[in-house]
Amino acid sequence: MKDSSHYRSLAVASRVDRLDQVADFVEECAVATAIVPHRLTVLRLVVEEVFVNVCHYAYLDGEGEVSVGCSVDDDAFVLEVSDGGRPFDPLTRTPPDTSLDLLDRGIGGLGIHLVRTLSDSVTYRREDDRNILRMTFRDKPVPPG
Amino acid sequence: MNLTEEKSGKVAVLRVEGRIDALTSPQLEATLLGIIQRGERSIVIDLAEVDYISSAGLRVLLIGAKQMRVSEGSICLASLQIGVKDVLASTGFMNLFRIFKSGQSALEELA
Repeated sequence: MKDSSHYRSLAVASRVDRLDQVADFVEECAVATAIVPHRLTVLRLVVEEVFVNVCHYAYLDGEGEVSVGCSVDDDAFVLEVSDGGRPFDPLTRTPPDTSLDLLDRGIGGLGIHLVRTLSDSVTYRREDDRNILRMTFRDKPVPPG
Repeated sequence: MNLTEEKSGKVAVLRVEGRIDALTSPQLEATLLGIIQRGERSIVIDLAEVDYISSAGLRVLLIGAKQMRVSEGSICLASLQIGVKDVLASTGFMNLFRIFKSGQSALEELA
């Protein structure tokens, strides 16, 4: 059920080479709603991190389908990325320790850390055998300069 | 993404132009590791023309920096745009690299 306005969605194969197609689609949706036009880079970054994460981890036997939905709800731009892969809640990952020295730093978890930091909210749910990650972005005043 | 390499005194400069994302970071990784493998010990990555970096790009920077630490060299970053700076700051990467305002100031300091 989708009761929010401006709902549009795109389904693609879970392949990293689809990234531009997915990111451009979300950008187009955001521009159409006029809610986050000055935060498009942030939005693109969140789309990339979530999409690439699904491409790498959702389907154990390689490739599946990823669906990206955009809508507006309560004055927020809503992005939902879903897949039919194994149940996986990326939000349960331990956040990276960003204070560690160079040689002790790992790269794991940085993407989802960015998603948490840059979205106004992010929630996970499992519904109809799908993983659904929902992010919201609210309009913010353009910083001076 | 466009990559340009240049040598100035003892410093190898790598200028990057375009997004550093999951699609382009393999190219950056290959070029950066190539520079490291040919024995450069002081590398400046000039990001003046980069307005986007994702965790795929951070991974390349981290791999490069770790390799350089092992070989007692260093990688510095120059000319960070605000969006790139935000990503580096929120992941703690600003503490891992020496950062210069511009490629020019990096060369004045390091060359």
